[in-house]
Amino acid sequence: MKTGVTECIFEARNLNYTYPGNIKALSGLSLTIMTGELVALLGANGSGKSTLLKLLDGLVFPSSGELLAFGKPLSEKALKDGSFVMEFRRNVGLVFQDPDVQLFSPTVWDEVTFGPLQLGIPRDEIVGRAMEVLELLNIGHLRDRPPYRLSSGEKKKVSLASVLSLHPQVLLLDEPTTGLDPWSQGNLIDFLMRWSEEGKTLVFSTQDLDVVEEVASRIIVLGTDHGLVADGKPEQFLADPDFLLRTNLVHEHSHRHQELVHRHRHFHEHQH
Amino acid sequence: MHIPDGYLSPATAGTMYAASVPFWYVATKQVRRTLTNRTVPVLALFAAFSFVLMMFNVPLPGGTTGHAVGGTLLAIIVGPWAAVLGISVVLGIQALFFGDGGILALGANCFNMAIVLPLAGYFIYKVLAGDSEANSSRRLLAAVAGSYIAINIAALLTGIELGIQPTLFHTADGTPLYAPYNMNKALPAMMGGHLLVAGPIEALVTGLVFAYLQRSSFDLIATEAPKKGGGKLWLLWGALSLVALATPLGLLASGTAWGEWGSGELKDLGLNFIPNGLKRFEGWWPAPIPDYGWSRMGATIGYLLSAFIGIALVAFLAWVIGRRLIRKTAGESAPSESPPKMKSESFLSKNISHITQALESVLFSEDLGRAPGLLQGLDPRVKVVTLLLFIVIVSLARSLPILACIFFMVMVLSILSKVPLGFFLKRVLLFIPIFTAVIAIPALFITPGDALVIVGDKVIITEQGARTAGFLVLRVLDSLSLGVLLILTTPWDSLLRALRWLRLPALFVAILGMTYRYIFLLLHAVNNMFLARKSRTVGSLSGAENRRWLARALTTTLAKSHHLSEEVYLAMLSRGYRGEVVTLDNFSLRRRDFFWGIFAVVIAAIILWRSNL
Repeated sequence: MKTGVTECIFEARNLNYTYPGNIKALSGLSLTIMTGELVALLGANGSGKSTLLKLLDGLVFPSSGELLAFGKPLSEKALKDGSFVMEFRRNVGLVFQDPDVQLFSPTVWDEVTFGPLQLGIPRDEIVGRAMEVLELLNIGHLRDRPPYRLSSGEKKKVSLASVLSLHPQVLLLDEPTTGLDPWSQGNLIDFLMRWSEEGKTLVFSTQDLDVVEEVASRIIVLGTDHGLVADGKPEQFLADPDFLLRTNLVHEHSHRHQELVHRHRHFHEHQH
Repeated sequence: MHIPDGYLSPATAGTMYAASVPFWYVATKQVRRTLTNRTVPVLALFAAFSFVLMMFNVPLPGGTTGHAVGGTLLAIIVGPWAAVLGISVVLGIQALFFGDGGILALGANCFNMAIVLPLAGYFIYKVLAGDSEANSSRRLLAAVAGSYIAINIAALLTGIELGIQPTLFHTADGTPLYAPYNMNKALPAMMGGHLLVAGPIEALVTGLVFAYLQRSSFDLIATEAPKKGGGKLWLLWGALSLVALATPLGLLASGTAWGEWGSGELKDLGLNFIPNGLKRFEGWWPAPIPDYGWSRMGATIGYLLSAFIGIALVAFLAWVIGRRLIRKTAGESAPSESPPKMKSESFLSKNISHITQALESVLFSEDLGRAPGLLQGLDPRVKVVTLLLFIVIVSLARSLPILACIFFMVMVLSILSKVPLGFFLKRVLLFIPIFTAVIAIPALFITPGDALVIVGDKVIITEQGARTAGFLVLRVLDSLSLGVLLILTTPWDSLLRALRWLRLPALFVAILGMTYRYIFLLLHAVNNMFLARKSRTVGSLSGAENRRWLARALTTTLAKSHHLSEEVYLAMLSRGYRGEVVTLDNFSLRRRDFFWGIFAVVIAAIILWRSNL
């Protein structure tokens, strides 16, 4: 499962997903995600973004259609195979939208070591990795805290750390910037951009068009009918007000004053 | 119904652990088969829910409040075996963090409330519900009856466990070493309260939540495919009558215990014993609270009366809930009734302050556990083992001065561990020891033995009576303070590690840890619900309105727990969880751990040697 330069990571053909009670979450979705892409997943509430991320992480399985990961089918049966599931989980990490779901261990340290421990990584290495990610996200001081004693921003960081300790090649994030203050948001974006520079793949869902503009090399937009409505370069779509309105990405009372916003990417270290 | 340490002899406590282990084993097997990899998150979230449920003060018709166990409700929702494990976890957390129930007595408490209660409740529910529709009123009635009967069976068991203590465990001169009341006093005391108060609360909460679940779209009430020859409604009445009739059997069976120190025997001792003086109370039955069965005849009547009043109450509740259910489904709005008014303000504030207090106290303990101090500096394994050793020693010791010395020692240890003494004493003394002292008072007067206080020519207090009261109060105080000291000086995660090292199954420890973590989340959510309600409430609401709101809040919490358990499971799966809990435990023993260990063993040996002289 080596990830080459232009290798195909996910291939979905005509994916459908229906929740019990015949509630449709995704319909007729086809897409391909390549190594090194920075994909933003857009769409109105309930358009199926979270479901798609869970599908890509092999947590739920399509009702119909085909999904390949690293060229192999990603099915319930395939994930029963011990070596495949270990390899897959080490390579693909998902950060859930709600950190309270992600943080289930007694302390931050237990949380960060949870993944590597389950995946049979040698114990000495686990300690090293955990220290490294805590350092990387500047949360070393939270090490012994229980999750209910973290602020919501800290929770988001620990959630990310708990997945990064797996050293994944592909990072799936469900609304990573939601609920963060602007400063933390900026930090997170910088971090993700730096992280992805090493040929890693990033797929994140978001409601924030500014984040998309700053980070994404490609956008995938899901419509209210749970199907694909757009797939391509962000510039292609974000400049089209009609398109944005149609897909519920903006409200007609809010305008994007692109020309007024001065943006620059800041890659310096944050030592706060 | 939570038995604190000090009420049961170590032999009884050990036996009850031994009796519980096979059930835990079967429950684990069963649950892992049905829930497979979901075992940990599902049990943890539902255990957290039942913990929250037990914290709710429920307004009862008449203006009093109380809390439910929810064992039958949980068994109906998650299945009986999952309920066994879930409630066991809750009882463990309550014993450790809130001193609610003893650590040695945990086996007995689990047997009564986490094993017998949900299994019996579920069985009765199943039999009575038969193949009825998921939203039928018969199923609701089955849940209500099941919960009422089951909690009373659990109370009966508790009464028996307490009642055998004085007969089996006493000193040569007849001083009871543990719970001082024998069967004919322990049983009525337990049963009276449960038939009349705790039972109706349990039935009420079960009925309200169940009815709410029936009406809502939550797919939580599992109904199996209709089976032929299911239960019949008459079984409900049969079972109810059985409980009513069977409870006094305990009384008859205890005749020998009574006879053991009956008045005849005492006259042989040349004592004009109290029961003679108490004979004048005999005509007083039925007393409002049938607590101490002065006379067997009176107690029996009291029993039957309690049973029938309780059953009538439950039948009434079931009828009211059922009627409201039917009315709601018919789309009518309930006309305003005139139940006993109770201030919604006090009800809401009571719950809010109760929950906030619990959260704050735990958070404060956590800070103490990580602060520097004598016990904080010790390896958690050494600490757990030595403090458990002391708790066992407390239950074995047979000398009052030594029991007093142990309490003194614990206070010194808490000072050396920089635990604020005021906080420590408040935490230890409040409620359980005071409650125990109240319970112990009658023992002063009714325990037969040598005269200690004589008024006129009557023996008022016997030496044995004074000593048995002393044993009970000191033992409760000692074990409780040792438990509190452990939890105040040990961070929760270290404690979990120590428990794993002590060979508690990793699955159990994982559930314990996760339950504790999500209790916080649910309590915060519930507290917000209470606050939101308070902010929108002007004036007072009726008890019925509060109860209806409570049912909604509980059901919302239940649905939240259910949803969270599924999401948490996916989050675990995503990071490579495959049903086996892998953990990273490293301990390092230092010189001080050895010194402390040696010190503890020496002290324990001295206590045992001195106290049995």
